[in-house]
Amino acid sequence: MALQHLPAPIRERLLIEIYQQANDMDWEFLSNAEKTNQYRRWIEDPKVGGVLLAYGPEKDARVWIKDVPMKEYARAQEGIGSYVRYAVNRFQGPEEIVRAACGSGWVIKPDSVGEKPNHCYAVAGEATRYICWGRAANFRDLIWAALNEAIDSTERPAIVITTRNGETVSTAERTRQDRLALRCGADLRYLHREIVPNPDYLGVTDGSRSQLQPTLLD
Amino acid sequence: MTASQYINVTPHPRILGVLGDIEFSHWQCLAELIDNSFDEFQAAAGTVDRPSVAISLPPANSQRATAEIKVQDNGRGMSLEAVTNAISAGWTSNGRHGSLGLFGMGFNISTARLGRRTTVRTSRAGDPDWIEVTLDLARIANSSEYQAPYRLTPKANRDEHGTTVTISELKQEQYATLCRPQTQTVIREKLGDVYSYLLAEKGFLLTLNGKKVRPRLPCVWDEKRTVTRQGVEIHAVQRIDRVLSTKNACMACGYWSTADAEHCEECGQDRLELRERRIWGWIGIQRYLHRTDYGLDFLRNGRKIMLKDKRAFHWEDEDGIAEPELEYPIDSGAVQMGRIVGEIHCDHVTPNYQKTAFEFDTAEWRQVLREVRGTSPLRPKIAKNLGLPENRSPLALLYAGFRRQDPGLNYLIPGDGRNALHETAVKWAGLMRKGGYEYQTDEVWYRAAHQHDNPIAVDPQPENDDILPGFGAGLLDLDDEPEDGAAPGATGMTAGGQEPPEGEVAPAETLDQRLQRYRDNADPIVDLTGPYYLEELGRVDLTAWAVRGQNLVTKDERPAPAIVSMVRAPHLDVFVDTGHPLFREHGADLRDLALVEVAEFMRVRANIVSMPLSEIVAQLKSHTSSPRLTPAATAEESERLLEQVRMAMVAPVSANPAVHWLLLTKDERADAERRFAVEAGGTSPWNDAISSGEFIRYVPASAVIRIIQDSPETFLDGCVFKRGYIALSDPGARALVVERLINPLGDLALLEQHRPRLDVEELSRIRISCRLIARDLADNT
Repeated sequence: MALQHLPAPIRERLLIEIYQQANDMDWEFLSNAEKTNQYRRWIEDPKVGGVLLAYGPEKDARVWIKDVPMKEYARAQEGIGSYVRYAVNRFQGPEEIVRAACGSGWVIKPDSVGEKPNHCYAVAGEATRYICWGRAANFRDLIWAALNEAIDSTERPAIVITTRNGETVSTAERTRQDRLALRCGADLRYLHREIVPNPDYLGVTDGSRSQLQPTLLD
Repeated sequence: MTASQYINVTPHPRILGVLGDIEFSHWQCLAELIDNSFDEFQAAAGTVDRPSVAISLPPANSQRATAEIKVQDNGRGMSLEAVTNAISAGWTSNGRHGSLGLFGMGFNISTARLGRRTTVRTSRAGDPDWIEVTLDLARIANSSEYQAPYRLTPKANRDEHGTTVTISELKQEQYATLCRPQTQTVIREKLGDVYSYLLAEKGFLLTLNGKKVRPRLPCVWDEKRTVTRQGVEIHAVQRIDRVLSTKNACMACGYWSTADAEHCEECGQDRLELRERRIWGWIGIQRYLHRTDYGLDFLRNGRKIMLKDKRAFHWEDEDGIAEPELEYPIDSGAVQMGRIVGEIHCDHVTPNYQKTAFEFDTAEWRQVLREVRGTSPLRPKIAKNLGLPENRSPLALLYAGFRRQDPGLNYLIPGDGRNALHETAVKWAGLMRKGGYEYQTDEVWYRAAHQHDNPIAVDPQPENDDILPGFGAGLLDLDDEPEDGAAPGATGMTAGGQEPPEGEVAPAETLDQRLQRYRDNADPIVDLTGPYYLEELGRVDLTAWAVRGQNLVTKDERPAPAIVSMVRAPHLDVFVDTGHPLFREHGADLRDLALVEVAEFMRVRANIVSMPLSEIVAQLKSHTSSPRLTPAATAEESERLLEQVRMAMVAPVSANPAVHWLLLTKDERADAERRFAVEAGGTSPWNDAISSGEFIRYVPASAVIRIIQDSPETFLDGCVFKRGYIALSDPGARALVVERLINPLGDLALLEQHRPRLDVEELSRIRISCRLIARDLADNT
């Protein structure tokens, strides 16, 4: 992909700006049309497109915004990946998922967090369980991952469907998901999570956008 | 002696289901439930991280048997006692003041309207269980007792809190409409309007089927924009903030009693609560005009109760029995368009139970109206005639400053030098609401209003050097050119490909620099600027520039009167040299030529050169906001100008009204009286209009012309028209001046009075007459 030669401080400034804006506009609740619109707006935005276009043509700039920061945005909110420190707010992390899936007494197995779908292993004594989680819309991927895991493991895998504020799952959908999970031999839990200020945030959080300064990496 | 006996008036439990027969539209039902959550957020005052309400409506592919409506919030949740009260009809924890939920019936009405079964699931942070109560209307009606079962389910995480209302067993018609995607879009937009204040200012999150409900934001001129009327600067936004005396609100009947009352002065109960009362908000000028999309929003606890209300624009004689009289908009010709908008918060005023209006017969509501619009008529002359004091309310100020819609900065209306760009202004508002980057401020509108006053036209002939006709600037010694003729910054090559002056060789100008130099010496042509999309040729975002004092050259250094350049797709610049002989001497239309260049660019880009160039130009033209040369558009313009002429004539005529009145024929007097009867609204007698000179506003155009012809000294010399008259001593010269004015006026009169069939050339002539008259009108502020 072009634009990879973006100087590091500029790249960082762009990431902070884009993530900040995405946070302000509740990116996860925009329709596809609204997201497309926003990509166009970012190109017009002097603070984003105005900077990016100095390093490549518009087409590449648009692709960069879409494929680099925004592709990682949801993962960053989960606390996963290398873009976590740009997310203004995020969820607490996999510990919360493990608690919801297995209750107390289980802890997350070190370095076991992975993605596609988001998953980890939880351990209690000798036992190890596979847990995957995601939004209801990604249930198909979750069930497939759990099913594959169930075949290889003696412990029952768990699926956690997460909702956030502004998000709800209908009773009919839940009933369906419950039956599917039962059939596949997986435990299914629902977890409503609050998004909290990101403890690893890199930008300035004094509430004033205009004072946003790029923080240089060491 | 008779013993006291009682009749049991407890309503039959069937009443709960019957409540659903009350006429509430879908969005209103949902709004009742949202109100409950939003009230709770406001009561919690910041203790909830991000106050959120998620609504889910059944998707199009759902089945009615399992379909449901859900409204879920992350508020503090309820105790068993609170939830019992919340679902009991007629009970409200809020009393009748201070919150959106009213009478404790909204919940029952809206849930019963949508479905037959409602479940409320709620819990507070720290509570061990979720409480789940089910209201099954059919079962309750049959049991002849109000009984709703509840159960407790343990919480996985004690920190969880919030309330979810789920409505199932949806009614057939409600379900059929609600699951349509189009209905959901409409509901989302309506909610975005009704809750815009809470969503935008308080940061509440409202989603409908996983998509954010966006607040519909006002598109008003910036507060710093002003116009001046009679030496007074009037800002485009007027703030209102009136703290009222603290009063005792009756929680039983809603009446406001005095602060020291111990019992309600209306119903006698003692459930009084001392409360602050305040009327606050703003009224301002929208950046566009619209037939319906204007008016004031009145809010209660952050929710809009009345939207785009036009009540404040009527004047009602408080002692009279006459119908309220419309005062705004009345100045915009046949099609009335308005642009005064506002947001007025009046939490203390009681709304009706549907929350679609306030109780208008209360002292509280009248006080709100007084605060916004005052008591006298907005029209100063009408007020004076009635012996009422001058209205100095915020609305009267805006009325004085912005009631008219003439293009230009004088009234803050975008224009293109000839006409107002109303449609363009509306289109820009659409882009603003979609989040378009450059439309967030009023800059684009302001530029267009400014451009109207400084129109883009062909550069006039250089004046000073035109000693003999035909021997203009060309006669000047060429050696003088670089000093006073060359454009600033035009270093390097000149248009003719001449060598740069001797001495230092300036570095060659890059293409970017050259284009920037053009822009630096140009004004945008706003009516051409904007996106164009043609089926086979794709899209361009055009910016058109009228360049002055620069010779344009193409990329290959070829001189041309108009050039296009695409630096960054799909953004295209078109530059037109307003001083080029093609425009200045041959009279070619610079806008048309600009579009020819754009058309050629587009067809070459798409490699479809077989497409006729003129056809592409025609399509582009139909996308521009340039005014059409249609009989209707020209007639409207003529009428508008004649109206301006008549208005300006009132003052000079009033100096000696009888003289001018006598000039009218019998028929013209009758015509004028008829028009007065229709348009003046009957507040003052016709005789007054005759004696005050106001009658001139109603006389036919032919009579206007005769009156001007009869005493030009009254109307020329900057009085109504700019042109000088008195200073001329020769009678022939005087006659010529008058004739040059009367001829174009005659064209306007013809169109206003007869609506003849006109061909394009006649229409062009009338359009030019309009421009000549507009140019000649003295300032009419």
